[in-house]
Amino acid sequence: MHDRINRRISKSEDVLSGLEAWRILPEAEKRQKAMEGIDRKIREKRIMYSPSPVRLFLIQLQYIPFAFWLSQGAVLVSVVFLLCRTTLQQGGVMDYLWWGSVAAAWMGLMACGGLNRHLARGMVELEQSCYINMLQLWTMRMILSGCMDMAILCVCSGVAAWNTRVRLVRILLYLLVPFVLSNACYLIFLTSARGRRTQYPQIIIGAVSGVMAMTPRLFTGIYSPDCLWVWLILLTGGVYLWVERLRCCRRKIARGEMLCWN
Amino acid sequence: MLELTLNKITKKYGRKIAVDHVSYEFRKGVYGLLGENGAGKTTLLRMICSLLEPSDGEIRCSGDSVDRMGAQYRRLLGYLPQEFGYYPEFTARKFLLYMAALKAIPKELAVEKAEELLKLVGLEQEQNSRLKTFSGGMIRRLGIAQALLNDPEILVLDEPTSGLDPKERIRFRNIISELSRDRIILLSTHIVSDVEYIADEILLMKGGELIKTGSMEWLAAQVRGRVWDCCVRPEETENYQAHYSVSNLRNTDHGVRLRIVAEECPGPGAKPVDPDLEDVYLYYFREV
Repeated sequence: MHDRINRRISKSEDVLSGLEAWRILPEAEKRQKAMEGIDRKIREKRIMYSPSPVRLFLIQLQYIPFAFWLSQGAVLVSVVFLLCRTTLQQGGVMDYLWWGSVAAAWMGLMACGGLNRHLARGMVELEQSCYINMLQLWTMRMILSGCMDMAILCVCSGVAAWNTRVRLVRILLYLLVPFVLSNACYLIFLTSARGRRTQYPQIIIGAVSGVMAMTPRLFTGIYSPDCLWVWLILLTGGVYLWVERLRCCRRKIARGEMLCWN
Repeated sequence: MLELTLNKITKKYGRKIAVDHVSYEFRKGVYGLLGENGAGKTTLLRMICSLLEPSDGEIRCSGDSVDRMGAQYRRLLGYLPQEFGYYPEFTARKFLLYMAALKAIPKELAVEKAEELLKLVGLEQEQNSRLKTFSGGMIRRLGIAQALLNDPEILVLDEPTSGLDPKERIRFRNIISELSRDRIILLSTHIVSDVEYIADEILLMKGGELIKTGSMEWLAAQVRGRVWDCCVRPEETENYQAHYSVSNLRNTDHGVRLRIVAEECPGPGAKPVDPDLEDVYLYYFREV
């Protein structure tokens, strides 16, 4: 038994020494060249910094113009004032909805209006050529302003629902329709009107949207539960139009049609 | 090594062909893109910067399609558009920091780079001034600075020196020459002197096509024997201008000295002279 183990060990040693004799040793010069090549490749590699989504949002927040915050602040203050006034006067649901609809229409316009700044200032071409490009900038801006506007609308709807005993979902629906439709109208303007876009068309669209938002009051019973289906159709249509316009916008930016005017 | 390959790049707008099956390979060095208005230079540069989608063909960067590379390709780019907008309420420093943020440059490095580039383009003193107070030339210089923020491997400059005075133009040329050692620089310009001394290759573009490409020396050799210098009487000047492409006209005591680009000798006493890039330009873009 002992002999057998010893024979096995010496056999393995023989095998190992045999392998050692067959081992291919690298040539020093070739090895040196290979190592230099690897070293050069390592030095040529650029260390790329990729900002996280949170960092991207912070960048957006940092460079959003003061006018944007001012306008959002003005809307918020106006909404709070009107909310308090209507509550103190113990207004009914119609009292909340007439100014709420106009405010919602204006909020929808301002959400998209911020996008026009890049076009109006002729910065789109430059921004689109960067790592964080126009599409990403616009997406972040729309998410930011959309969330703020939705929060304001939800608070308005909540207060109105609490005071008038009307269901929250109904009031939110009545306010979402002018919000979505004004968003969609603005995107139609953005994707259709070529040339330098100034503030004036936005103001006109805002005025028209505000007036349109007040027109449901002309129809008796339009805010009754029996007519909810009308609002649902309007909301569905508005969302469809908005999504379709967003996709058109995206396609035009990707193809360069919205960026390059000459 | 970085290579930018254009493979039959075409851009059509309806029936109009703005860029017509352009193929070229760029490696490190300075390339001057020359052409008249409407030749398709800006359209070509926009496609290279992936701002415009080509109607046909593809662009590859070191073998990879730039479409597929997406943001990674834009990382390598520095671009100065022909028409350069800005946010008037921004200061020069804030503008560069904003562009650095878009180019995903970390804040500490961005601050350092912004200061360095403001100094390079001579805007150090005005760094805290609002852009609405800047002149056209200053805005242009700021544009050049933002194009260099991310130390790009591919620098695309569309009419970079428009609005710059001669001193600034010379400073710009020197900056480009320094940078050209290890990157691709593509310069589109009408100002021949911008590229005459610094470009390794000149690309002449006409009607959406690259009609001639080569070094300055090679292009000049193509036109040798077709550039003439002659002195004519003042009353004959109009006649010569009507029949030939006159690249230079100078009144002297002995008459009017004309530099003419023509296939054959324009008249007695005309001597052939060595062509420069302006002569080359005039030769290929003259009205036949």
